[in-house]
Amino acid sequence: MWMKRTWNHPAVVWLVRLVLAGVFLTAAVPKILHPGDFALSVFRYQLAPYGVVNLTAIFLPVIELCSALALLTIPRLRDAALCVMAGMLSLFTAAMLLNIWRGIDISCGCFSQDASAGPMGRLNVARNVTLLGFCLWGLFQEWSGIFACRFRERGIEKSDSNNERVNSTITGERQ
Amino acid sequence: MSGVVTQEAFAWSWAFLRGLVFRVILLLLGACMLAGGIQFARRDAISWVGDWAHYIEAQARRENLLLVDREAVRGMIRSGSHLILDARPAADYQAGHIESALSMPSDDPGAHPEVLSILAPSDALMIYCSGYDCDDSIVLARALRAQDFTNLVLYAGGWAEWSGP
Repeated sequence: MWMKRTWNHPAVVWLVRLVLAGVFLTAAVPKILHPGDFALSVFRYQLAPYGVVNLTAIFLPVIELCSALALLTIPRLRDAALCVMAGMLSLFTAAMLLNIWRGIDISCGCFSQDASAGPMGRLNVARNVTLLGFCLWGLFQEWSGIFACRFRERGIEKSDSNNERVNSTITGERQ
Repeated sequence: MSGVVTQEAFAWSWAFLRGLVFRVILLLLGACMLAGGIQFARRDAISWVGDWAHYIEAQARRENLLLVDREAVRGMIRSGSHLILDARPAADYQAGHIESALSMPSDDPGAHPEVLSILAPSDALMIYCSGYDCDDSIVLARALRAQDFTNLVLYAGGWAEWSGP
């Protein structure tokens, strides 16, 4: 019970949002400032077709930035922002795992575009999986309220219809 | 009764999902418009589509490195005119490499001191990596240049072209 209350506490929910938004903002800003370096990072992954490398470097960081800002400032877009973040994290993690499996020793390019940064490894994957967990937990928090409301409504409707049925049975019996 | 409830739950879930997809598209559209705006506004903007197919050649020209093709590499192996350096990770080198090539991974050129010890700055070196998708050979060439190696040539086709048909 105590655990449940702690995990649902608004302060914890906001803390998770701040961590996610902070990570995405920190990742987005250097990429937006140096698109050429980020394009090189995308090229080094050896996954995107040549024609898509620059487009990825132009659009992806701004999508990261907007998701982070929407998560913090636009309540109606919070679940959409979390979905986009979860999608991006899944994509990044898959790309990392594929390159680790292929034995391509490149730096992650997540926060720094410095090619001399250490090669990515399991720690990067673990960090992404943790963030993905935060996203899914955030989505659960966003949606649990909506679903709870819905089911409460259904419950009320159901109990109302039960009452009606009971009443009609009683009336029928009386008749 | 339960059929009606299921139908209603399905309709509600469908409406919820549609709303979510709409919000995601709205967010992505806004972000793309902003990215386009930034791209048009900035002076140091990169081109929408880069010439990455020729990135290695362009970098080699910028670094004043001579590019060689597969035939030239065959000639080098026959004549022994150049020492061949494999800039890929050691595991890739062990999986297969150009004959007589020595391993010198670009991310850690000092990993094989025995290779470095037999090299002299005046030696003619030919460097390669996986192929047109990698720039390990360029990175290694820069590192060797910094150590006063000047006689460097690059095989941009790399292992992919060499081991291919």
